[in-house]
Amino acid sequence: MPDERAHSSTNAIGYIEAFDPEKGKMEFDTLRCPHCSGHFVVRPGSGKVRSFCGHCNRLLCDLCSVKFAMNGMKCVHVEQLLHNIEHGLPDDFVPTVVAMPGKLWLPQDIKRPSPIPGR
Amino acid sequence: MGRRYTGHGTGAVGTDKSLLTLISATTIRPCLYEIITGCEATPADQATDFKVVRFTAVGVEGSGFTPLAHDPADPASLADYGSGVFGTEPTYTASAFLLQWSQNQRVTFRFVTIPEMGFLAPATAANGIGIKSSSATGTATHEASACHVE
Repeated sequence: MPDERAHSSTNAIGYIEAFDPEKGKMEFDTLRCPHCSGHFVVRPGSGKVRSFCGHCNRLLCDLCSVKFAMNGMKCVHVEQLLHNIEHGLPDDFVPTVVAMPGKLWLPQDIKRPSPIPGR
Repeated sequence: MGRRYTGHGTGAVGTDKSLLTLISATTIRPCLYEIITGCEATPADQATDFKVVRFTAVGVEGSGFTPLAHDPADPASLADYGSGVFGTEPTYTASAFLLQWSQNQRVTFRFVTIPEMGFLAPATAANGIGIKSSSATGTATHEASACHVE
Protein backbone atom coordinates (compact mmCIF):
# COMPACT_ATOMS: atom_id res chain seq x y z
CA MET A 1 0.00 0.00 0.00
CA PRO A 2 1.55 3.32 -0.98
CA ASP A 3 2.54 5.65 1.81
CA GLU A 4 0.88 9.03 1.17
CA ARG A 5 2.48 10.87 4.07
CA ALA A 6 4.36 14.04 3.19
CA HIS A 7 7.57 12.63 4.60
CA SER A 8 11.04 12.82 3.14
CA SER A 9 11.44 9.09 3.54
CA THR A 10 8.66 8.52 1.02
CA ASN A 11 10.79 10.31 -1.59
CA ALA A 12 13.74 7.97 -1.24
CA ILE A 13 15.56 7.41 -4.49
CA GLY A 14 18.34 5.11 -3.34
CA TYR A 15 18.31 1.71 -1.74
CA ILE A 16 20.78 -0.22 0.39
CA GLU A 17 20.54 -3.89 1.15
CA ALA A 18 22.93 -5.82 3.31
CA PHE A 19 22.84 -9.54 3.86
CA ASP A 20 23.92 -10.72 7.28
CA PRO A 21 24.13 -14.51 7.77
CA GLU A 22 22.71 -14.13 11.30
CA LYS A 23 20.20 -11.29 10.88
CA GLY A 24 19.18 -11.95 7.32
CA LYS A 25 18.50 -9.22 4.81
CA MET A 26 18.52 -5.62 6.01
CA GLU A 27 17.14 -2.81 3.86
CA PHE A 28 17.52 0.96 4.04
CA ASP A 29 16.26 3.81 1.89
CA THR A 30 18.55 6.68 0.96
CA LEU A 31 18.09 10.29 -0.09
CA ARG A 32 20.42 12.12 -2.44
CA CYS A 33 22.14 15.29 -1.28
CA PRO A 34 21.63 17.98 -3.95
CA HIS A 35 24.94 19.68 -3.06
CA CYS A 36 27.41 16.77 -3.39
CA SER A 37 25.36 13.98 -5.06
CA GLY A 38 26.13 11.76 -2.08
CA HIS A 39 23.50 9.53 -0.55
CA PHE A 40 22.51 9.15 3.10
CA VAL A 41 20.24 6.73 4.91
CA VAL A 42 16.89 8.08 6.02
CA ARG A 43 14.91 6.47 8.83
CA PRO A 44 11.31 7.59 9.33
CA GLY A 45 10.71 8.81 12.85
CA SER A 46 14.37 8.89 13.80
CA GLY A 47 14.01 12.49 14.94
CA LYS A 48 17.28 13.45 13.29
CA VAL A 49 17.37 17.13 12.43
CA ARG A 50 18.85 17.84 9.01
CA SER A 51 19.60 21.01 7.10
CA PHE A 52 17.23 21.94 4.32
CA CYS A 53 18.23 23.97 1.26
CA GLY A 54 15.34 26.16 0.15
CA HIS A 55 16.97 26.68 -3.24
CA CYS A 56 17.13 22.98 -4.01
CA ASN A 57 14.05 22.13 -1.92
CA ARG A 58 15.89 19.10 -0.60
CA LEU A 59 17.47 17.82 2.60
CA LEU A 60 21.27 17.94 2.82
CA CYS A 61 23.72 15.30 3.97
CA ASP A 62 25.64 15.83 7.22
CA LEU A 63 28.84 17.11 5.63
CA CYS A 64 27.05 19.52 3.31
CA SER A 65 24.93 20.69 6.23
CA VAL A 66 28.09 21.85 7.98
CA LYS A 67 29.40 23.56 4.83
CA PHE A 68 25.98 25.11 4.26
CA ALA A 69 25.96 26.63 7.74
CA MET A 70 29.58 27.81 7.52
CA ASN A 71 29.03 29.46 4.11
CA GLY A 72 26.06 31.49 5.26
CA MET A 73 23.40 29.23 3.72
CA LYS A 74 24.95 29.62 0.26
CA CYS A 75 23.57 27.03 -2.15
CA VAL A 76 26.23 25.30 -4.26
CA HIS A 77 24.32 22.78 -6.31
CA VAL A 78 26.14 19.67 -7.52
CA GLU A 79 26.09 20.96 -11.10
CA GLN A 80 27.82 24.13 -9.89
CA LEU A 81 30.26 22.05 -7.82
CA LEU A 82 31.24 19.97 -10.85
CA HIS A 83 31.58 23.14 -12.93
CA ASN A 84 33.89 24.56 -10.25
CA ILE A 85 36.05 21.43 -10.21
CA GLU A 86 36.23 21.32 -14.01
CA HIS A 87 37.29 24.97 -14.23
CA GLY A 88 39.62 25.05 -11.25
CA LEU A 89 37.40 27.35 -9.20
CA PRO A 90 36.94 27.17 -5.43
CA ASP A 91 34.44 24.50 -4.44
CA ASP A 92 32.07 27.07 -2.94
CA PHE A 93 32.15 29.48 -5.89
CA VAL A 94 28.75 30.71 -7.05
CA PRO A 95 28.47 33.29 -9.86
CA THR A 96 26.93 36.59 -8.88
CA VAL A 97 23.46 37.12 -10.29
CA VAL A 98 22.18 40.72 -10.44
CA ALA A 99 18.52 41.57 -10.86
CA MET A 100 17.81 45.04 -12.30
CA PRO A 101 14.41 46.61 -11.69
CA GLY A 102 12.24 47.66 -14.59
CA LYS A 103 13.43 45.64 -17.55
CA LEU A 104 15.07 42.33 -18.15
CA TRP A 105 18.09 43.02 -20.34
CA LEU A 106 18.94 40.21 -22.68
CA PRO A 107 22.03 39.99 -24.89
CA GLN A 108 19.98 40.55 -28.06
CA ASP A 109 18.72 43.90 -26.70
CA ILE A 110 22.19 45.32 -27.04
CA LYS A 111 22.37 44.53 -30.77
CA ARG A 112 18.88 45.85 -31.55
CA PRO A 113 18.93 49.24 -33.34
CA SER A 114 17.45 52.16 -31.47
CA PRO A 115 13.92 53.15 -32.57
CA ILE A 116 14.93 56.82 -32.29
CA PRO A 117 16.88 57.95 -35.39
CA GLY A 118 20.34 59.15 -34.72
CA ARG A 119 20.68 57.50 -31.35
CA MET B 1 19.21 6.79 -21.40
CA GLY B 2 23.00 6.83 -21.06
CA ARG B 3 25.29 3.93 -21.70
CA ARG B 4 25.88 1.68 -18.71
CA TYR B 5 29.02 -0.19 -17.73
CA THR B 6 30.33 -2.41 -14.93
CA GLY B 7 33.69 -2.50 -13.20
CA HIS B 8 35.21 -4.86 -10.65
CA GLY B 9 38.06 -4.64 -8.18
CA THR B 10 39.64 -6.90 -5.57
CA GLY B 11 42.07 -6.09 -2.82
CA ALA B 12 43.03 -6.43 0.81
CA VAL B 13 41.39 -3.94 3.14
CA GLY B 14 43.25 -1.79 5.64
CA THR B 15 43.89 1.86 6.39
CA ASP B 16 43.09 3.95 3.32
CA LYS B 17 43.31 1.20 0.73
CA SER B 18 41.41 1.62 -2.52
CA LEU B 19 39.40 -1.25 -3.89
CA LEU B 20 38.07 0.29 -7.06
CA THR B 21 38.26 3.72 -8.67
CA LEU B 22 36.10 5.21 -11.41
CA ILE B 23 38.33 7.50 -13.46
CA SER B 24 36.56 10.26 -15.34
CA ALA B 25 37.39 11.70 -18.76
CA THR B 26 37.34 15.23 -20.13
CA THR B 27 34.40 14.44 -22.38
CA ILE B 28 31.99 12.84 -19.97
CA ARG B 29 30.57 13.06 -16.45
CA PRO B 30 30.25 9.45 -15.34
CA CYS B 31 27.62 8.68 -12.72
CA LEU B 32 28.22 5.80 -10.31
CA TYR B 33 24.87 4.28 -9.42
CA GLU B 34 25.48 0.81 -8.01
CA ILE B 35 28.04 -0.63 -5.60
CA ILE B 36 28.33 -4.18 -4.30
CA THR B 37 30.97 -5.17 -1.76
CA GLY B 38 31.72 -8.45 -0.07
CA CYS B 39 34.50 -10.63 1.21
CA GLU B 40 35.78 -13.73 -0.50
CA ALA B 41 37.86 -14.94 2.46
CA THR B 42 36.89 -17.50 5.09
CA PRO B 43 34.10 -16.00 7.23
CA ALA B 44 35.41 -14.20 10.28
CA ASP B 45 34.29 -11.39 12.56
CA GLN B 46 36.31 -8.50 11.19
CA ALA B 47 34.94 -5.04 10.49
CA THR B 48 35.84 -2.60 7.74
CA ASP B 49 34.86 1.01 7.27
CA PHE B 50 34.25 1.79 3.61
CA LYS B 51 34.01 5.20 2.01
CA VAL B 52 33.08 6.46 -1.43
CA VAL B 53 35.16 9.58 -1.98
CA ARG B 54 36.05 11.97 -4.79
CA PHE B 55 39.70 12.13 -5.87
CA THR B 56 41.73 14.62 -7.88
CA ALA B 57 44.69 12.41 -8.84
CA VAL B 58 44.44 8.76 -9.85
CA GLY B 59 47.59 7.51 -8.10
CA VAL B 60 49.24 4.35 -9.41
CA GLU B 61 46.76 1.55 -9.85
CA GLY B 62 47.74 -2.09 -9.66
CA SER B 63 45.77 -3.04 -12.74
CA GLY B 64 43.07 -1.43 -14.76
CA PHE B 65 39.68 -2.92 -15.43
CA THR B 66 38.15 -2.24 -18.81
CA PRO B 67 34.52 -1.25 -18.19
CA LEU B 68 32.15 -3.90 -19.45
CA ALA B 69 29.19 -2.53 -21.40
CA HIS B 70 25.77 -3.73 -20.30
CA ASP B 71 24.63 -3.45 -23.89
CA PRO B 72 27.06 -5.29 -26.19
CA ALA B 73 26.24 -2.80 -28.96
CA ASP B 74 27.61 0.13 -26.96
CA PRO B 75 31.07 1.52 -27.71
CA ALA B 76 33.95 1.37 -25.27
CA SER B 77 33.50 3.40 -22.14
CA LEU B 78 35.06 6.85 -21.98
CA ALA B 79 35.57 6.51 -18.24
CA ASP B 80 37.86 3.85 -16.85
CA TYR B 81 38.21 1.71 -13.74
CA GLY B 82 41.33 1.31 -11.62
CA SER B 83 41.77 -1.73 -9.43
CA GLY B 84 44.36 -4.05 -7.91
CA VAL B 85 46.99 -3.18 -5.35
CA PHE B 86 47.62 0.55 -5.66
CA GLY B 87 51.29 1.55 -5.64
CA THR B 88 50.25 5.10 -4.80
CA GLU B 89 46.80 5.80 -3.49
CA PRO B 90 44.65 8.37 -5.32
CA THR B 91 44.56 11.87 -3.85
CA TYR B 92 41.20 11.86 -2.16
CA THR B 93 39.35 15.08 -1.41
CA ALA B 94 38.97 15.60 2.31
CA SER B 95 35.39 15.69 3.56
CA ALA B 96 33.95 14.62 0.23
CA PHE B 97 32.35 11.38 1.37
CA LEU B 98 29.56 10.45 -0.98
CA LEU B 99 28.64 7.33 0.95
CA GLN B 100 30.18 5.53 3.87
CA TRP B 101 29.36 2.41 5.79
CA SER B 102 30.90 -0.12 8.13
CA GLN B 103 30.66 -3.72 7.18
CA ASN B 104 31.33 -7.01 8.89
CA GLN B 105 33.38 -9.44 6.82
CA ARG B 106 30.42 -11.83 6.73
CA VAL B 107 28.08 -9.27 5.22
CA THR B 108 27.39 -8.53 1.58
CA PHE B 109 26.51 -4.91 0.93
CA ARG B 110 24.69 -3.40 -2.03
CA PHE B 111 23.79 0.18 -2.83
CA VAL B 112 21.72 1.05 -5.85
CA THR B 113 19.88 4.11 -7.09
CA ILE B 114 18.35 5.46 -10.26
CA PRO B 115 21.23 5.51 -12.81
CA GLU B 116 21.07 9.28 -13.34
CA MET B 117 20.82 10.01 -9.60
CA GLY B 118 24.08 8.45 -8.47
CA PHE B 119 27.46 9.94 -7.62
CA LEU B 120 28.60 12.34 -10.33
CA ALA B 121 32.25 12.79 -11.22
CA PRO B 122 33.48 15.94 -13.00
CA ALA B 123 34.53 15.88 -16.65
CA THR B 124 38.15 16.39 -15.70
CA ALA B 125 41.06 14.11 -16.48
CA ALA B 126 42.49 12.14 -13.53
CA ASN B 127 39.45 13.00 -11.41
CA GLY B 128 36.87 10.52 -10.29
CA ILE B 129 35.33 8.55 -7.47
CA GLY B 130 36.98 5.85 -5.42
CA ILE B 131 35.69 3.05 -3.21
CA LYS B 132 38.19 2.55 -0.40
CA SER B 133 38.52 1.05 3.05
CA SER B 134 39.44 3.81 5.47
CA SER B 135 40.07 1.48 8.38
CA ALA B 136 39.75 -2.23 9.11
CA THR B 137 40.35 -4.69 11.92
CA GLY B 138 41.57 -7.30 9.46
CA THR B 139 43.30 -7.57 6.11
CA ALA B 140 41.03 -10.00 4.29
CA THR B 141 40.60 -9.64 0.55
CA HIS B 142 37.37 -7.89 -0.35
CA GLU B 143 35.66 -7.43 -3.67
CA ALA B 144 33.86 -4.40 -5.05
CA SER B 145 31.72 -4.18 -8.14
CA ALA B 146 30.31 -0.94 -9.44
CA CYS B 147 28.10 0.22 -12.28
CA HIS B 148 28.20 3.62 -13.90
CA VAL B 149 26.30 5.45 -16.59
CA GLU B 150 27.74 7.97 -19.03
